[in-house]
Order: sequence, then structure tokens, then C-alpha cells
Amino acid sequence: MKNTFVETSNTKRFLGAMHALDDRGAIEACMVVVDGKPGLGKTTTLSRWVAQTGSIYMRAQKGWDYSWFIKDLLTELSVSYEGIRGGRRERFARVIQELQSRAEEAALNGTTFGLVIDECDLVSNRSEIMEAIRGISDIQFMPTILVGMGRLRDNLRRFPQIESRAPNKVEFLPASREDVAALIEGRCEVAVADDLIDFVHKVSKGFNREILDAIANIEKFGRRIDLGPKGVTVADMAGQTLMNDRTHGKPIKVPGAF
Amino acid sequence: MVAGEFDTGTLGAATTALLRAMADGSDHGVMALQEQLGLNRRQFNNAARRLFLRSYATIVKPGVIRLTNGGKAAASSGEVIRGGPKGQVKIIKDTFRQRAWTAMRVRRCFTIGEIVADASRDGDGDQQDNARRYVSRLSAAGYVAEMPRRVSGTAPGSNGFKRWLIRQDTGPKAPVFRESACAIHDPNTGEDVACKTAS
Repeated sequence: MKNTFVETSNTKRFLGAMHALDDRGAIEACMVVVDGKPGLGKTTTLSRWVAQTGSIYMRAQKGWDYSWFIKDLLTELSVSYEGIRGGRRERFARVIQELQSRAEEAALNGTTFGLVIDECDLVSNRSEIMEAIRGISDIQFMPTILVGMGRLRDNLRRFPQIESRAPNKVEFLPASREDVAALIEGRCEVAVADDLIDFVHKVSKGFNREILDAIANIEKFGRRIDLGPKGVTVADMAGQTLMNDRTHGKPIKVPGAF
Repeated sequence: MVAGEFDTGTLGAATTALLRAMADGSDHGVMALQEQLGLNRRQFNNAARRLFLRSYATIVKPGVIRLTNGGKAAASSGEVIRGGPKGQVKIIKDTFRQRAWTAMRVRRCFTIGEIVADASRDGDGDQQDNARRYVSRLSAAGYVAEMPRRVSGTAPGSNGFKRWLIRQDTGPKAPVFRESACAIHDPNTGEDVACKTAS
């Protein structure tokens, strides 16, 4: 499988939301909420974005309180928590100072810099943490990306002051037929016929994880046969395992006729 | 101002030159200013940051800066900035290995292919070997560990691809391999960690 990053419609909507922040009317509306079921490409998209922009990435922990959160954030900013003289106020000031210099550096280089909080569901009902995140993003007007699954959006409704700062919400949706075709074309090292792309789209239910499993199996099969002009077809792969069903774990095989 | 008209080794010289280059008060592109003044990115960013600290300049949008009213007044009065930078700024280098380390920290469990896809940029060329060497050295120093099960490969006779797990996440700065000492230098802790085996 080719080691390339394929921009799906989910990725494009995420990048679109990040561009929309540059043109926002209300300067404090600098939060983006990213959610969606597991296996739809959130981690892949975020991993690529964070690596390319040098942004700060934090994974929320269940037991986070204010001090733990600030300590983790200072670690990500390469600052020793213990090395800061003073108390809570001085540590917060140092966080702001460090973020400001990173944001300036990024702006001078013409790039985006942001703060990503993954697994935000775990803390999205904790007012102490959410208010701290809002405080940091308010002072810096820095893009802040809250990533979660199902509960994040609902929990944020409890904090209207945060909800109002996050008009940009990106829900990662199952891949469309075009996304599946783009993923197969971008990652698969053998040609794949349209009928097999349709079948992968149907049985994967648009989950990237399953689509990548299917690509690996198609590639494995395609390297062992003489391919026709259209590439690997459903008829070629009849009876072969394509992927495993995520609900019951049983293999999904390509039917004899489709 | 023509490049080379000031000594970049003199404290504040580049900052003063930048202030004068923007004296008209209009929006200026960062790249054009760098070229005009003959400064590299680090020198330019340090000079710009000194203007920000004095509230002489502001960022209009990414890649575009402009003088504030205070900056315009300073430029027209011929102010010479003599001070050096206030405070140390930690700059994380934007290299392939730095991006690869960031991707490893985000994913925690990864294959070389996934890291290459996250960290590569157009024009980087094939970074597969670079990533493989880096991960192998991190493994020798105990930063990452090989997982027992491989991801199956697709080529006939393929042994599959190793899956790795990050073991020591010491911070955001990418550990650097020092060939002379056969050790990994960790800029997060300041320590050198010996590699058990070097490839």
C-alpha cells in the first residue's frame, strides 16, 4: 500500500473550517469542534495536521484537574512546571507567553498554529477544564480544536460561552463513493475496477479502517493474478475475504455475482 | 535597504533595518522583507519579535506584518534599536524527523508507512529509509518498542510490516541521533541515551 495521505471530504471540511477561522467575524470565535464515530479518519487527519503545522497536541485524561491540565500543557510547550516561580497565576501567564511566541512564529512563517485537545469527551462536562481552555483561547484568539466522539457536542451545550465560540463544527461522516474511489486510487498499488469500488463502499459502510483493510486484501490478491484492463473486479475476487465486519467480526467475502 | 548594509552581528541592527524597511506603514510580506534585508528566517523572526515586544509592529495575517502608530513614529524619528531579544524563544525545528516524532506521539501505535504519510511534504522525496533508520535508533534507545504482531504485507513472500509502540514520550522535541556517541540525545530532558545496537 502506498504511504500517501489522501484528502477525503472529511479532511477537506476540516481544513475548510480551519480556513474559515481566518475570515471569522467575531475574533473570539476561534474554536473548532471535531467529532465522529471511531474509524472515520479523525486521528489520521489530526496526526497529519499537527505534524505539518507543529501545533500543540494534547490527549485529555479522565482525571484531569486544572493543575494537571496546565502541567501537561507546559510540558508540551517544553517548560518545566516545577521551574516556574510563583503559583497558579504565574504558570498561567507562562502558558500564555509561550503560546504567544509560538503563534507569532507561525504567523511570521505564514502557517497556522493551534491547540488540539483530543478525547475531549472525557473532560467536556468538567467546567474547570473547559473554562481554562476557553480562557487560553480567548486571550490568544488561537485556533483551538476540540476532538471527541458522540458526547462532546451535547456536553458543550451546557457551556453557552464555549458553544458560542465554536460555530465551526466538523462531523466526520462515513466516506462517500468518491472518497472510497480516491482512497483506493491513492493508496492501492494495483488497479481496481469500478464494480469492486462500489462493493467496498457498500460493505465498508464508509469506515476508513475497513476501506484500508479492503485495499490491503485487494492488493494482496491483485499482485498474484494477471489483471485485466479494468483492474481487479468483483468477478476476479469472488469468494475472497475483503474485510471483517466490525459488528460481529465475521469475514465479509466478495460474492460470486454482484 | 540593500542586503549587507548592516552588520547582523550587531545587537539590534537587523531590527532597526526592519523598522526602517517598513517605515511607510503599509502591509509587508514577510518573504519579500527577508529577501530585501538579506536575512535568513531565524534572523528575520528574531528581529520581528523584537518589534512586537516593543509594540512597534503587528501581524496583519499569516505572512504579513505592518508597523503600528508607535512603530511609524519610531521609524520617522530615526530610532536605533540596540537591545537584543527579550527572553529566549524555543523554536522547534521543522524537519522531517521532527514531524515524524510528532506523528508518533499523536498515534502512539504506528507503522513506518503511517509516519511517512503524516510527516512527508511535497518535494521531500522518498523518506521511507529516513523514517526506518530513525525508528530503529529510537528503538535501540528504548523510546519505541516493536509490537509482537506485524501488519501483513501485500507482496508475495512479504514478511509484513512492523508495528511500533511509543514507550518513552519525553516531550515535543524530537530526540536526535548522535552518531559519534552512538546515542540518542533527548532535547526534552537534556540527556544522552545510549543505543544498545546501532544500525
